[in-house]
Amino acid sequence: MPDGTPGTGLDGRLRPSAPLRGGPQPLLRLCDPAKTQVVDEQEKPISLVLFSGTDDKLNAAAVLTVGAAAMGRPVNVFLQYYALDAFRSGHVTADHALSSEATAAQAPVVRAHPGQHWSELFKQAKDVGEVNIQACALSMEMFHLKQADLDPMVDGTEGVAAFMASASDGQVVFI
Amino acid sequence: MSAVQVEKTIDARGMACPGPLMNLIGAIRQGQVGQAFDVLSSDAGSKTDIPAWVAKAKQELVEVREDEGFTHFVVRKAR
Repeated sequence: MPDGTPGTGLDGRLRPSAPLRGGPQPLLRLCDPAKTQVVDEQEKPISLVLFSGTDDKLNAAAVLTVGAAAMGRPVNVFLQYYALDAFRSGHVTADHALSSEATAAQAPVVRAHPGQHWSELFKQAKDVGEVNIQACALSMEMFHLKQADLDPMVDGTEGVAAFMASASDGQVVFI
Repeated sequence: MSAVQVEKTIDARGMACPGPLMNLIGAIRQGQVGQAFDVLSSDAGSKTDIPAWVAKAKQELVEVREDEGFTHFVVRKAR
């Protein structure tokens, strides 16, 4: 959450899924009643572990997130290592290069594709559904980062056990 | 021509997946029950995504019609 507005989403509505600042974090996140207008069936969460910090993998993860959110699935995003680094405040839209899978022939095609930036897709996902983006506590410590160093779309910092508790009985995907 | 009166045309041609769907969701959220929206999309993903979302969100897919290089998806806000 951005400083000064804990507990509210982009639209200013209360987000029960947001962790309490300085307090205990809920093990199971509640559904946001304000989102029931779009899709109201209870769905299992999908949980994405973002490890890679290249623009292509972040974009693929963002597309999965926005699709899941649109279809009514709560999404937990856990930022580790190089993905966390890409979410640093002021660095989000910087060039994060492409993954090593991209060949010399593919790279310009990927770069020229007119899709939206991954950061915009994550924001749309948060607007349309239940999306909770958490920084991995270990990676935060490794890179000497504090919450204020991260983009406001990152809701908080948590450890791996809390992330797994949120994942509950839904799938966990590592990207 | 579609049989329903279209409230608003959402020209999402050229937008990449899932842009057209997200524009539709935005229009449905802001619209009134009974209003219909005509989404124009050239994104191949829309052909599966828009019907899947409409079913999930319990909206109404009034018409899917091919045009020159794009598809019309007429969706009515059902609730």
